[in-house]
Amino acid sequence: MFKAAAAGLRPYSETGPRPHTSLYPVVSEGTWLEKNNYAQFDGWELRQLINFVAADDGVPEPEIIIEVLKGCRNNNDYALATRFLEVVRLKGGNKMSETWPYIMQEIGPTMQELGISTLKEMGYEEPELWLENVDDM
Amino acid sequence: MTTLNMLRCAPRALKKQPIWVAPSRNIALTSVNRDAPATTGSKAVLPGHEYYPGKEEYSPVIGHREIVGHGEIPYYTDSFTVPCPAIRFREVDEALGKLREKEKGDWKLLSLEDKKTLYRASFNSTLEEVRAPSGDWKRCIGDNAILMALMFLGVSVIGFADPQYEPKTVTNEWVDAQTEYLIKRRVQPVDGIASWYDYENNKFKPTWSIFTTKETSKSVKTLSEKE
Repeated sequence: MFKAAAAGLRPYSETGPRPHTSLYPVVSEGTWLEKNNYAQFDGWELRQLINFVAADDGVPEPEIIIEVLKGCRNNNDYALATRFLEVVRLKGGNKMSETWPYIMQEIGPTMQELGISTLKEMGYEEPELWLENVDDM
Repeated sequence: MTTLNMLRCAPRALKKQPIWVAPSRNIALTSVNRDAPATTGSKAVLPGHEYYPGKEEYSPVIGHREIVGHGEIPYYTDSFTVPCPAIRFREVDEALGKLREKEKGDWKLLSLEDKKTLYRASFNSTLEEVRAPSGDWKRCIGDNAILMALMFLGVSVIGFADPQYEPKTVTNEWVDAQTEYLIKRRVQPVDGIASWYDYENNKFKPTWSIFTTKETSKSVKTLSEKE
């Protein structure tokens, strides 16, 4: 996390309360991930979560990313995993070159375990096809 | 106005019927599809295309595409703010069904082509393609350049062809009369026209030649001979 701290970043879970976290002070023990078992979400809830991650102002932590990828594996949905990785990469914004290598470093082993190929191998870090914009037709 | 338009959907919503959306298929949900039991619509349950609630109701609108996410009216969009839309993009075929069976196994056995096919089956474009520039500014500037060129053509060629649009103050007669008047009145004696005229010899000094052409120089000679 040193590299992330040097870039002026802080962990996503420390940014504040979110609707998918508890609104009330939680007294019981356990980390945030133990309470929200993203790996057992079904496709519907996973897509809700990913849409929320795209709308929120932060890059999710590697632990959360790993749980979501495991959720995709449990739902047998490979396309959703690549889409989620694209979202995570583009959430870095101007600091994509600093956040993305760090995240790849952290989730690399899990991705090899599950058999998900990286965005670079798929060729999705640049646009692959040219699609005409609907407004220009 | 939008709230009043939404009230039009109230009777159908009360009967728990789907709201009419602009479909890419049949223009309207016919009564056959609405009243008959679940025998119409796509019946073939291909491998990987399991039953989901709302399959018969929405199949005239979206076809054989699976509903996978949240959205009362399922439609597909590519957007960074909504990366996971409510439906998949491609319809279910036999080939895709077989690929989905393969997807249930080990993902390391999927080839790169399989992975790309799976991605394009769920999504139309990648998010990088959404961000890619369209190059529309070239068309805008080009169209404007063409219009400006037409305008310049019209003004220079068509506008000047008519003698009605030529101003009379540009003709040689007017200019000669004008110079005669200015010299008689001795205007601009320091830096202007009177300073270029030699009043003792009644002719223009040599610097005046830069303002003359072949046509004007004749009239200048007559002027100097007059005075």
